[in-house]
Amino acid sequence: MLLEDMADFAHRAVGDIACSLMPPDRIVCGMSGRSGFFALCAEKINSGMTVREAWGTAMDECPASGCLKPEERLLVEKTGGQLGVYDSRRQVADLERLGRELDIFRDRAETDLRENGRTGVTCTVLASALAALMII
Amino acid sequence: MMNGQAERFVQAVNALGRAARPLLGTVGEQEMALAGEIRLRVGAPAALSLPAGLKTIGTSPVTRQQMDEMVLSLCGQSVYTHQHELAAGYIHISGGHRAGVCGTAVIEQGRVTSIRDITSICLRIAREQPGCADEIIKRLFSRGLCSAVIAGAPCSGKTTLLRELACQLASGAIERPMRVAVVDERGEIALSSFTGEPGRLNRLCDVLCGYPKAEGILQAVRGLSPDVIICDELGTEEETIAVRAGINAGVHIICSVHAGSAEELARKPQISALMDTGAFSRFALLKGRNRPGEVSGIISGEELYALGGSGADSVVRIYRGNVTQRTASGA
Repeated sequence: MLLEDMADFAHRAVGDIACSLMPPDRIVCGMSGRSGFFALCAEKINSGMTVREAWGTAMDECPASGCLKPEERLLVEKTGGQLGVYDSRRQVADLERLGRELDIFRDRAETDLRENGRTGVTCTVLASALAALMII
Repeated sequence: MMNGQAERFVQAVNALGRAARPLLGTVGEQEMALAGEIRLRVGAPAALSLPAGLKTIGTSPVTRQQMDEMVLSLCGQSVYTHQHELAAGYIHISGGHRAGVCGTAVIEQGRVTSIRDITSICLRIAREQPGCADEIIKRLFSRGLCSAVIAGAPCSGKTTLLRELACQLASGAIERPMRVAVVDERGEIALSSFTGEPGRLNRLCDVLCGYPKAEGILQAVRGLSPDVIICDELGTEEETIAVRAGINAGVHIICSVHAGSAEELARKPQISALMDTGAFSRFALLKGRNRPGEVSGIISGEELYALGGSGADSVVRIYRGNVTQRTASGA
C-alpha cells in the first residue's frame, strides 16, 4: 500500500538525515525494494534525473499513486518537491510532519476500510434476510 | 581529444548542472585549459579567471533561478549533506574542485550556521601537474625529510604542489617510500573520486577526508603511524596543539600558508604559532598566480628571522627562542 510505504519512507528518512546527512536520492533508492513507486524513482534517478524530478515523474507514472486521495497526493507531491532543498533541521521537520500526517491518513484509510467492510457485511445479511422472507 | 585541464574544466561545469549550460556553453577548449576559476554572480554574465585576467563569457546575466539551481546541483541535490561546508562558505565537489559561495549569513548564537540567498559562486578548478614537486623535493629535502611550510599567494599552486609532494614522498622520491597521511579537510588535496575512482594520491597515501585539521592530525598520529602528515593552511590554536603532538610522536608536518612574499610570511601570526612548536625549519615560497607550482625560493628559519621588521617581532622572538633552545641542547 503506497500510503504505508510513504509513511515508512518519511520515518526512515528522518533517521538517515538526522544521523548521517544521507542524500535523499540514496534514501529513495534504498527503498526501491519496498514498492513499485520507489523502484520507479530509483530507475529515474539512475537515468540522470534529480530526486525531485524522479519523485514527480514517478507520481505521474506509478499506477498505485492513482489510489491516493487528492489531499494525500498533494502532501506527498509537496514533500517530494522539497527533498534536498533545505538544511537538515528543516528537512527533518518537514519529513516528521509528513510522517505524522501520513500516519493519520493511513489510520483513516484503515478505519474507512473496516467501516466499509462492516457496512458490506450488514448489507449482505439484510439482503439475505430479505431474500429469505421473499422466498417464504 | 581534450587535454587534462580542459577535461577538468568540463567536469567542474558539469557539477553546476543544466542551468550552467547556457551561461558557459560558448567557452572554447583553449580557454578551458587555461581557466583557473569560473565566476558566477546573479545579475552579471559568467566570467573566467585566465592568466591574462578576468574574461566575461557571453552577455546573458545569471538569473536568481539559475543561481539556486546551480547551488543545488553543486550540493549534489542535497543541501543538508553540504550544510557544514556552506556555513564555512564553500562546497566541496567531486574531483577536488571547490566552489566558494557568498550570500546572506544565517547567524545563531553568534556563529554562521548557514548561508541563504546565495548571490555568487567562485568555482576553482583543481589542477594535477605530475612532476611539479621535483624541484621542491630537491631543494627542500636535500638533507632528508623535514617539516616544512609552503607559502604562496592565492592561486599559486600550493594545493597542487602538496598533492604532488604527497605522491612523490609516498613513492620513495627521497630515501625510501614514506608513510604519508594527508589531512584533507576540504577534499581539495586528494582529488577524491576524480573520474569516479580513487586517484593516484588515494592509492599511495592515507587520506583523512573532511576531518577538521587538528582532529585529522591527531587521528593520523594515533592510528596510522605516518612518517609525514600533509595538510593545507594550518594556524589555529587547536591545530598548533595537534602539530605539537605530531612532532612529539616523531612525525614531520608539511603544510601550506597564504603569503605572497617572505616578508608577508614573517608577519603571519600563524607562522609564529607554528614556529613556536619548534618543528618548522624550512619555508618554500612559490612564484605566484602566473607560475602555479613553481618555487621562487627556499628560506630557512634563520633567514626568516633575519628579515626582521617591526611586523615580524613575534616571529623573531619565537625564532630566537628556538635558536637558543637548539644551541643549549647542542643541536
